[in-house]
Amino acid sequence: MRRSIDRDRIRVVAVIAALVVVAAACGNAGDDDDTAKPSSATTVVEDTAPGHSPGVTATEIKVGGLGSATGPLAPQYGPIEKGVRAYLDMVNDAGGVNGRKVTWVGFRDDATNPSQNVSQSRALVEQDKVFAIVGVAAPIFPGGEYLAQTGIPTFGWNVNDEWELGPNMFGEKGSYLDILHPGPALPFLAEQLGLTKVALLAYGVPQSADCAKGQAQRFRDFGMDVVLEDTNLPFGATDISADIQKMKDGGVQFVTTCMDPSGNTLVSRSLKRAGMNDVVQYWPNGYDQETLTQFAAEMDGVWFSSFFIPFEKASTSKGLTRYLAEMKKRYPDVDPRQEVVLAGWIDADLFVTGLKAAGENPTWEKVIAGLNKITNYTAGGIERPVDWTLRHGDSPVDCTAFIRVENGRFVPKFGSSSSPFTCFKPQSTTLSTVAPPHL
Amino acid sequence: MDEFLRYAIPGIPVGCVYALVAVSLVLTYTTSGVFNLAFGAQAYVSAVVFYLTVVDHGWPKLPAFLVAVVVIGPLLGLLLDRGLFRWMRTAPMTVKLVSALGLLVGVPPLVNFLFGTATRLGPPSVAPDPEKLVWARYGIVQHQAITVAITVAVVIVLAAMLRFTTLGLRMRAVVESPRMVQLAGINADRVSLFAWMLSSFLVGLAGVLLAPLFANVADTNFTVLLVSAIAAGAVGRLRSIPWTLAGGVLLGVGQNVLSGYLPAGSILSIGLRPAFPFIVLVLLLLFLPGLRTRREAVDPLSVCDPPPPALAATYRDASLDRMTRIAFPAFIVAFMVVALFVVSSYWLFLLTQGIVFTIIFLSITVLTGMSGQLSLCQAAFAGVGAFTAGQLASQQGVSVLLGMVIGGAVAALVGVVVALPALRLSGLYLALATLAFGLLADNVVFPLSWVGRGNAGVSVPRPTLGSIDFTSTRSFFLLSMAVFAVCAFVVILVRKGTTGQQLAALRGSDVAAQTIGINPVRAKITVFALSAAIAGVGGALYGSLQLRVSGGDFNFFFSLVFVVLVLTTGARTVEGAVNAGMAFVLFREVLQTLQRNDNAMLWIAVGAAVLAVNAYVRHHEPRKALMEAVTAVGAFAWWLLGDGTPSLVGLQYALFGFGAVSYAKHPEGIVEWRKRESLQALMRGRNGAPTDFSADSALSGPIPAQSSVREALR
Repeated sequence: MRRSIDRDRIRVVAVIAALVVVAAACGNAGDDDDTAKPSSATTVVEDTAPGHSPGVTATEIKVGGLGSATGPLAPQYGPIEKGVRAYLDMVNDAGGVNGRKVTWVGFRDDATNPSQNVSQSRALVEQDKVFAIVGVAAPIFPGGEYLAQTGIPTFGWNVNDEWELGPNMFGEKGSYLDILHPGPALPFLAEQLGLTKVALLAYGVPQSADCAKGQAQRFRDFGMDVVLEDTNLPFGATDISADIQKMKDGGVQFVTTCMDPSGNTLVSRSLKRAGMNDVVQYWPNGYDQETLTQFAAEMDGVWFSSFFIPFEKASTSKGLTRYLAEMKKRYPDVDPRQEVVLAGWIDADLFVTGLKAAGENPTWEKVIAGLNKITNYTAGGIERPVDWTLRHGDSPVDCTAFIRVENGRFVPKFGSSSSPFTCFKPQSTTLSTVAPPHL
Repeated sequence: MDEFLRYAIPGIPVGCVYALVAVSLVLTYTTSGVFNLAFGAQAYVSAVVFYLTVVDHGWPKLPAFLVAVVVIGPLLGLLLDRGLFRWMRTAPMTVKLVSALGLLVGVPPLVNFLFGTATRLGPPSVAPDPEKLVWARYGIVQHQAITVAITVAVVIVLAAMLRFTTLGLRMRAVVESPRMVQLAGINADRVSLFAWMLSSFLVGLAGVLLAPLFANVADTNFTVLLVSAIAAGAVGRLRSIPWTLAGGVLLGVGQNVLSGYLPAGSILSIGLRPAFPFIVLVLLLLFLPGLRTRREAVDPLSVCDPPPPALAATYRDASLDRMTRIAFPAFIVAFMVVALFVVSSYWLFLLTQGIVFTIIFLSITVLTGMSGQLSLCQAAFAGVGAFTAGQLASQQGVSVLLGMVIGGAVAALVGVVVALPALRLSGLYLALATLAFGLLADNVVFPLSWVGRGNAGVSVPRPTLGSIDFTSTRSFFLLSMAVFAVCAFVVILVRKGTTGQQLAALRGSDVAAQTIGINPVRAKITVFALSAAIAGVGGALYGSLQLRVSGGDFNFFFSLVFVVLVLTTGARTVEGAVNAGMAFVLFREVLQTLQRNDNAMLWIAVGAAVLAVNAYVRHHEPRKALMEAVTAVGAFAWWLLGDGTPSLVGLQYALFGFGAVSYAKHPEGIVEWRKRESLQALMRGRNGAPTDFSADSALSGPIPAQSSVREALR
């Protein structure tokens, strides 16, 4: 018995020791070089042709999308496909790009599952052999790491950190989100409304918590009183009455959330239950018609912001008017007044812009280089300008369109007759605005 | 005092929902011995039906409520009892628990398949004017008041029924001793059926009351119920209904009071508040006297499982052994040649994923297969390994291969910490403690920026070893195969070695094993640590394969799927884990591919028809054949009449979940069962003599000669 235990032990220890020795003699891929460079593509993608123009023939260019078409958050992400396809259909109807049709191979569904997000990203590159991925919208986007390393031009809804990973990653509003250092838009809003006592609510996950911490710091920078900063609500919270009580005791006038619709509606209901009807709320998401239809009572008086021209001011923007008309023509059942659908449209526009810049024989490198030269991209006058030469870093001017729900309708606020945007220097230490750029 | 009340009172309504579910849990557990973890799925079904009838079809709330709660709820209970749990009355706890887990995993995707995955925004409340203030001082609105009123009424009626009616008397009697009740001429089955219907009604009610607290009806919302309701039930010692109600309410109130008094942003608030229900549950499991001993006290044999039969492989004769020795390496070589040189790089990636999942699943082979303990947090251990390797690589520049080893070690350490309660707990309570840990990791630990960084995740680079670079899928496949070989070797080594035999003895009876000098503490800690280490190494490898991992990769749901899947295919052998690993990846891919095909339902119909014929002609299983035939007809009808292909993505979980039901019939696992059958047929053909080594009972089969067992173990 004794002997066999010892032998067992020796064997197991030997295996572990061998592993440690082997592991000690090793490093990590990409330690010495910049993995974000397209040149590293050959190491991850084995099947692409030299020059990186897979999916391109004399008559067509293959592209596909990726995102959460099913799963718990699907309704907030899946509709991006419609925006992309409406734009590509419009382009194809007009003869395509340089004589080639843009062929849609399909929208790969990750079922809101990170593991599938990676495998579906790979499927688009290695199985479908697309030239570009147009229309990515997923709450968790680990596939971005792989896509950034392959160097394939990728276009999507910038709600994930992965968009910062490489020059081939293009978000519809730029590829950079510095949520810890936001611009002065919300302190500006509070000041305009004469509100000084502020509360911030967020879930205890980094993205949500960092958003609230960043905003709280900005409020403090401008001398406002942060009465409550709860960045630790459990995801799926069903009761926040204790926080509401603290807000009531502290005389809070303005509440900013960094949460999803469940959390936002809970805040709104809880405020009303506590009789705090005068407290002004700002929600980071929910500026879409369907949410408003469902939660008209909760959203009454709530403020939103937008990086694009509000749908209610579409008549001032040719690009937005065309978007609404094309969507109505091609997808009459889909309400186009959703940020994610518009993001898809802008992504497709950005891709086609890059494709045109790449000329007759497009390659990944040409498309990426062409796009990263553009200094003033507005998607045909739809969104605030994006300077792609700053690649994927911070923008010199931060513009926001403010919107408020009044009598069951979204109403754009501030701005001027020529522009709905209010613009700031992002790291400005005063609340003064700068002139909005011409779209 | 007023401040305290202002924090406490708004917590009561949520507490009441916990209590409703907990009462239902207690009812089924006491009357049928099934700890029905599937209640979250049942609550979801009622909430969806209520939503569909009211919002989509415009029904008035009362008839909708009657259909969703009074009809559908008990109907589900009836189905579960008659179709499933009634046949498991005398089955071991693991069998019942795994079946319930299978339902928890399988029902929500089935509901989504049947009713579609469209958003269900704005769940309606049963209250006519839900947000109307009824007690303005404490901000209590109509929906909350109705929730409290319904709960109190239900508990009073239930308590009165149990106390004063004949049925109640019988139910209490069944709780005390089903055998005595049967002897007294009472049909315990009928009593249990009633209990199932009643408890399912309560769960349905809880689902409809809980749904409006969220912005939409989603199955994930109902997991918040899981730990809180179990903790509330534990307060009532899984027995007393009034105490369970009190437990639920106390939990709801406690959460709110903590939020009120802990300063926002303080370490205590960050650590304690979200973890509160988990901590309560674990403390109750550990320290509430009488919680763990009730059933065991009634039936002294209930903790003593017969030893599992020897593995089919041990029955092979010498010539078959020789054949295997040649065929097995040939198969491995063929597999590697096909993987490396025949399939596309994408399929090679999928196969690699399958191998990596196999490694993670080997951790279940070690723990459940050898010791019979059920852990519901293996995905969390994998996460610990992955995040350790990822953080070390990205923050400290440590090599991923070394990170994998360190990740495995850290996971082993965490495993030991989780195993410490295992010294006091076993069976069901250990499973619940690990479930609490899995949820704690998911909700509290993995979102931390120095662990998993929430949805943003941690990047885990591909490793290099000297001049060998594992960046390409091919080289990473070879690395995965090597790690798998090492892990499988360790598993087989431990199984055949002293530890494995000690665990087998402990599995039979703790007390008996101790009398022959086995130290249960050391054996249990060893197996938990080893299991966690393997999961950790697998997790780290998975991270490196994916390049980036986040908490979502190691969600507690996956822990449940892993256990259900491995136990279905076979928890005692490496082959079981391999089959589970490949099934986990390939089923998903097949469904994805089918989803993109317009005639998918026709293909499914053809496939099901083939399976039906196979089941009837080859295996002589008319019931199984009938079920498959019904599936074939349904799929064909859908293809003919339906509007395109329904959403198939995610349906693999339904298949895995419902597959777990087979665990009751084949606890050795499908792979081992099939292997046994074919070995039996082969040897029968050879020897010309009837051979039977049925796995159903260790006692009914022939006992192999001691020498051959020793031979096999060598």
